[in-house]
Amino acid sequence: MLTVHAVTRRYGNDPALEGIDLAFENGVYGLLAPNGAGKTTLLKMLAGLLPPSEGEILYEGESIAALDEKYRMRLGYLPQRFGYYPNDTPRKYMQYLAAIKGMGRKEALERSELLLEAVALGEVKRKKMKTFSGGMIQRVGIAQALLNDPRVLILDEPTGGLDPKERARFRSLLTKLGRERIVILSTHVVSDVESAANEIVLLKNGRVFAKDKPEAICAMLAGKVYETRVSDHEVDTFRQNYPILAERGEAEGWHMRFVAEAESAMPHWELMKPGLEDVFLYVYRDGERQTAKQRLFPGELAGVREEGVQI
Amino acid sequence: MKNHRETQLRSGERPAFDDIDYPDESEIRLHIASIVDEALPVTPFFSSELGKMYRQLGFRHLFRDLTEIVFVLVLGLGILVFMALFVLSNANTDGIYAFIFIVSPLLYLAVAVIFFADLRRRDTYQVEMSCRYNVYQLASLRMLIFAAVALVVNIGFVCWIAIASQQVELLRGVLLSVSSLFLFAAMFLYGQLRGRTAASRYGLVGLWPLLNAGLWIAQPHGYLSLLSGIPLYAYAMLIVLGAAAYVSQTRRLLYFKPKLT
Repeated sequence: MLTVHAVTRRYGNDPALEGIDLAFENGVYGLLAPNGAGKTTLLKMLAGLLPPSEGEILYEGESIAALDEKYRMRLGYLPQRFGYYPNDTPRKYMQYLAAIKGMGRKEALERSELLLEAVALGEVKRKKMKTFSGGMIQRVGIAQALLNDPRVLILDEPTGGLDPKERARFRSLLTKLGRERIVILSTHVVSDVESAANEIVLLKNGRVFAKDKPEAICAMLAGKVYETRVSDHEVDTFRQNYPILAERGEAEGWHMRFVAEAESAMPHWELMKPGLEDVFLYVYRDGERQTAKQRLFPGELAGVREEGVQI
Repeated sequence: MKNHRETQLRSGERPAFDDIDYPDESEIRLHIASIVDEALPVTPFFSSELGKMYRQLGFRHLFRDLTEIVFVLVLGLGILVFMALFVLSNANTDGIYAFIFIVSPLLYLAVAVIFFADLRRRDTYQVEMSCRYNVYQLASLRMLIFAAVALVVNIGFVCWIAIASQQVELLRGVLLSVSSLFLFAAMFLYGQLRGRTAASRYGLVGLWPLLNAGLWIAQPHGYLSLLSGIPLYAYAMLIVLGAAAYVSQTRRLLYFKPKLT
C-alpha cells in the first residue's frame, strides 16, 4: 500500500499542495485536474523525486525517503515530458534504462523486446528515436516505465500524443496492469480514466476535492444534468443562469447541456445521466468561488469530498 | 485456484505444491533483496557499492554513446597538446613546476564540468532519477573513473616532461601533479554538492587557476620557490589528504538527494 500522509508541498511560500491524505492499493487511480492544479507535483513526490515540505509518503508502512533505492526498485515512472536520447534506438535506450534500474543483461533484453512488442514498436526497435513521432516516443516512455515490472507505476499524462487507437490500446493495458500493482496516472483527458480507473482523485486548489469510484464521482451530479434547446436570443441569459457543460450551435438555436437544481427544472428539459466529464467541467469551471456545499450538493457528499472546499 | 487454496487453508488441509503459483523473475529478485536487507542491515562499504554498480552497469553504460567518448578523447588530446606546446616553448624549470601544478586538474575539470552542466538540463533527468541507480550515483562512479583516468594521463605527461626537459625532477613533478589533481577535484565536487547557485557551484572552479596564476604573476619568486621548496613528504601528505577528501565527496555524491523543483 502507498500512503500519502498530511503532505504539503510549497514553492517558496506558495503552497502547491496542502494537507494531502491519500491511500492507494492495487488498482488503477486516475488523478484528474486541470493544468496547474498540482498533479505533476503530487506525482513527483510519489515517485520520490520531490520531497514533501510537510508530511510523509509511506510504501508498505515505510517512508519512501528512507527506502530510497529499495523503493525505486519497485517503481516505474513516466514523467510528463519524457526525455530520450535522439540518437538512441528504443532497444538501446531500454537496455540502458534497464541497467540503471538494476536489471541483469539477459532479463533486460527479454523484457525490453517483450515491452516494445506490447506497445507496437517491435518493428522499429532498431531505428533511431529522432525519427519517431510524438506518439511513438510516448509509447517508448510507457514501455520503459514497465521494464522492472514495478509494484508502483506512476504515469504523468501518459496519453499525450497518442492517437485514439493507441489510447484505446493503452486503456486496455492499464486495466491489466492494475490487477497486481498500484497504477496512478494523471490526466486532464477524462476519457482516459473513465473506463479504466478503479478510483478517481480530483484535485482542486491544492487539496483533494474527491476520491472515489467513477460512479460515485458521477453521482455527485445525479439529477442535476439536463439538456435542452435554446433560441438564439435566449442563449446569453441561459449561459449566465446555468453552469454550461456543453453547447452546440444548430440550425435553429442552441443545444445546451447544463447543471441545474431539480426543483428549478422546466418540464421541457431532458434529465441526463451525468458522466465524469460533466463533473470535471462543473468542478473546474472558471470563476466559481463558492463552495460545493453552497452551490449544489447540500449535505450529500460526506465521505466523498472534504467539507468547505472552495471550487 | 485462489478459492480452492483458501478452502484448503480453512479446512487445515495442506495445499499441494502444484497449487502454489510460482513467482515471476522480478518478484523473486525483490524478495531475495528484501530478505538479504532484513538479515544484513549493515551499511555497505562505499567501494562495494561502487563495485556492485560497476558490475551491473559495465563500461558500456558509463558513457552515453560513442559521441560522448569521442568528445572526451578529443578534449583530452587537445589539452595534452596545449600542455606539451607550453612545455616545449618554456625552458624555465621552476615555471614548468608551476605549470604542472596549475594545469594538472584541467583534463578532469573539462570532463567533469561538461558532465555536471548537462546533468540537470537534459530531458532524461527525471526518468534517470527515478531508477535504482540515479544520476548522482552514476556520477559518483564516473567521477572516480574520470579522476583515475586523469591521474594516469597526468603521470604519463609528467614522465614525458621529465624525459623531454632533463631539468625536471620526475618524483617532484608526479607528486605536484597528483596533489593538485586531488585537491582540485575534491574542491570541485564540494562546490557541486554544496553550491545552491551556478555561480557558487562553479566559483570554486574558477578560484583554482585565478588564485594560482595570480600568485605566480604577483609573487613569481615566492610562488615558484614554495612549489619547488616544499619537501616531498609534504606533497605526499597533501595527496593523502586530497585523496581522502575526494573519496569523501564522491561518497556524498552516492547518497546525494538533490532539491528538485
